[in-house]
Amino acid sequence: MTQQTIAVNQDIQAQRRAAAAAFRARMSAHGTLVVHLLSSPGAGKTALLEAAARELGRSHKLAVLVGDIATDRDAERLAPWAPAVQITTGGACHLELLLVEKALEQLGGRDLHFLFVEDVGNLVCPASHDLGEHLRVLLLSTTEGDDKPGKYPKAFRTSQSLVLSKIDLLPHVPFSMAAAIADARRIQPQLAVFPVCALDGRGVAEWCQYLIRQRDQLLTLAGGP
Amino acid sequence: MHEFSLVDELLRQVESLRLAHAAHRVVAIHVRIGELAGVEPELFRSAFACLAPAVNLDVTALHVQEIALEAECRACAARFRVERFCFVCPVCECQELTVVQGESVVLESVELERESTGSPPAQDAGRQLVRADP
Repeated sequence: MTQQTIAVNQDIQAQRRAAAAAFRARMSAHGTLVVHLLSSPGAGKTALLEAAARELGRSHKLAVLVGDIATDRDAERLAPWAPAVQITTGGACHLELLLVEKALEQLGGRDLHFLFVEDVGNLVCPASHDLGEHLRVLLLSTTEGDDKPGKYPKAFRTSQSLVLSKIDLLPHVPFSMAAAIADARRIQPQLAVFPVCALDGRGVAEWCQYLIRQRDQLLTLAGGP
Repeated sequence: MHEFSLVDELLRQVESLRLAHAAHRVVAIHVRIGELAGVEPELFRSAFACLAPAVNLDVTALHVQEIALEAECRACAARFRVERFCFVCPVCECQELTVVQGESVVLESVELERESTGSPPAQDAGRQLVRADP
């Protein structure tokens, strides 16, 4: 018997990261900005996407892949506004790139300007999975409490944009936007913050303009269409 | 509970290494889990305990080292422990930081055992750890 120690020193997700980078590059080449949405359950991801699809859908082609543990209710809600494919994870707490790629195949060949990927409602596991997105957007609703960022540092650290949702409820809940933003920016100083109410539309146009600018930057970098 | 999918990925990589080095047994797996890896070490261990027997691995083979989150300031070059996930340089209060450790799960090394030097690996033993992709 002989024993041998093999030094590896590699991130165990290195292969997945490489696959995500390859997916991102393919989507860039097609001029598609991939937006990954993360939040706790019930923070309003689907409502935000309904509002954004109404706004963006007038001028851009978009589609939504929506992750859920058990039902296809979110895809049904989104269907009037944008092509939507439900990814039912069967109990898994997060989406993975393989599921996203399969769902995208179901959508068929579409020249999309935006592909939204709504993850399973969970601020822990989805934060550790690169789905090949260009932009990670975290939703924090005013009903959840302004101390959430410090509790879920990975999710906030890995996001580029923070949407503060349900701002219509601000008069009724003990939520300080300033405190939430300050806490989030201690973790990720570069966060672009958008207060939004998906029900009455406040802030939706500003967030959509931000997405359009992000896509313009992507096209400039890619030298694309 | 994404720890299960990470352990699954780890086991796949360990198996590839075992085959590549013509070893018949994996003796130890050394893993470093960063404070901001988004992985709970205790859940990672229990996922390993759950999945390891299916690939004939001893549950005691996994050795986990927890790694503190550290960053370096791009302005003053101070290297420091990031306390309570506050990404601010304690020296100059700059927020332009580079994380130098503690953001990932790293497979550090694998200890393998061979039957004897120079002899080819036993085919049956070679099959023992082969797992079907999910």
